[in-house]
Amino acid sequence: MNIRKNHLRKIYLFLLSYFILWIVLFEWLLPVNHILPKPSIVFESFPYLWNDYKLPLNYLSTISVVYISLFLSYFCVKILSPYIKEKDNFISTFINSFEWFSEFIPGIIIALLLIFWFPESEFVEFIFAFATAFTSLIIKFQNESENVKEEYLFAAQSLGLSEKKITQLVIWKDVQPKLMAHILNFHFYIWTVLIIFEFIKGGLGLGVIFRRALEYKDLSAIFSVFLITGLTIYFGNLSLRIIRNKFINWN
Amino acid sequence: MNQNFPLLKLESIGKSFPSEAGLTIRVLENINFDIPVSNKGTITSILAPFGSGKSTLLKIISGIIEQSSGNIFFNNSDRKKRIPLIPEKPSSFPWLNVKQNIEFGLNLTEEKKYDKQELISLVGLEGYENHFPDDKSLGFRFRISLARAAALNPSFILIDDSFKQMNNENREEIYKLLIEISVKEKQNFILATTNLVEAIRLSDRIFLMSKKPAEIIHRIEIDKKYSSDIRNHTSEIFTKFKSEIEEAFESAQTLTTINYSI
Repeated sequence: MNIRKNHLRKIYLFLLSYFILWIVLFEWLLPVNHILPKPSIVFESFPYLWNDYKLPLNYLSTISVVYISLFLSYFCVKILSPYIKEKDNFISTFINSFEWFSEFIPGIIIALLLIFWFPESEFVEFIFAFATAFTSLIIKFQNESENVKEEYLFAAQSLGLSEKKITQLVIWKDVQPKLMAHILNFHFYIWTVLIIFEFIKGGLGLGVIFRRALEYKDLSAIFSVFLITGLTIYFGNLSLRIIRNKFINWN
Repeated sequence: MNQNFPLLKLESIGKSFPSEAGLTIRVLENINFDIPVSNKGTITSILAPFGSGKSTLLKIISGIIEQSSGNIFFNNSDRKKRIPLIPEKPSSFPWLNVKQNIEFGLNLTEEKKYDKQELISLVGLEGYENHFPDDKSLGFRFRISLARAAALNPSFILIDDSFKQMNNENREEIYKLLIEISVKEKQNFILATTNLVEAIRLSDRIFLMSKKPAEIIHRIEIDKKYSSDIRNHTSEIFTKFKSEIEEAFESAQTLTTINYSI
């Protein structure tokens, strides 16, 4: 525990050094450049982000899509777990066909098709995020449900539990920590994919701010939204870890 | 309970598995034994070498897997019964604390013999109700599994060589606990083991099982009146049973992997 804390402390020190370096270099030594914006301009640009780039609405749109799709996927996998554990029923085959599909067709092509079919719909972004998260979690669940400790299964079977109950009360519980670890890794991926999706589609979201800022060649806006996105992902990750440590803390 | 019929009767039980090479592996062959109804709790051991099919036999009795041939009768009824099995590795659920693990068992039965607190006391876990089994000893985790199994009020509890990896201190405590529950609560146990000392010390009855394809090669009845002498591994009675077991395995050429260490 102490080793991890020490390591984290070192990382925070490095981050602080980068921040100080940025201020020193770009505020005083290289105030005019095309690499990074002047810190004072970045801080001054926040009000413009708020009004001209509609930051609150776009920010809310992206974070709600990310977290609602993640949590909804998680609960859908929980509800469907008795049906998706078996690999030879309709639901499993249907989902596995998507898995097969995704091995050969990059997700971004599916995103492009969705954008083409529904250019005006804001809901399509949520559908895309949910489908990505749900497919990923379901595949993880299917794979991990085959690795549940057999002593738990034997004990549950001998206590007379039905297959459905065993999945709900034993397999799901045993797989939960692994699913949560998967969500922690997947969290960054879904943020990236979604920002690219918004960047291409337009409409609402942080990706849209990046696109406009790029069009206006507004380096300080790009840098500000980059900082906001980074901090949000960091705090999102932290919150997911807190949820894991509080509610899914068994090995 | 009908006193005229055995509590458990295994009649010509056989079990085969298909191998990956397409062959049939015979694990159990013609297993016959019965455990008579008794007005006290008994401990029956199945003593056999490693890999002989003890676990398979317990899983068949428990109803987890089906036998390939033969019949099982529970007090003359072939109706499937729920016989809880405590596997070799710890099976208490790490996501539930002691109390919740026991409630898990209690919620599965209508015919409750004990309430939650009684079960906790039965296995000596008072004061640990809210502890989680994660970082606890094998003995602690075994107690939870035992209480969860006892919650079903079953005619038997099956134990699959669960003491093998426990340290001596834990093992001695668990031996004492099993004998106590068997005597005081009239609970029957069937214990699969490779440990000769364990079998002699705990059992009222020992079935010796041969190597694969396994069959019962010998039956030994141990009177409880010897129990204090049997604890002494140099006693005459202990040596007598030990020799009897060794001879039975020798004649069946199954000596190799029985743990004879005292």
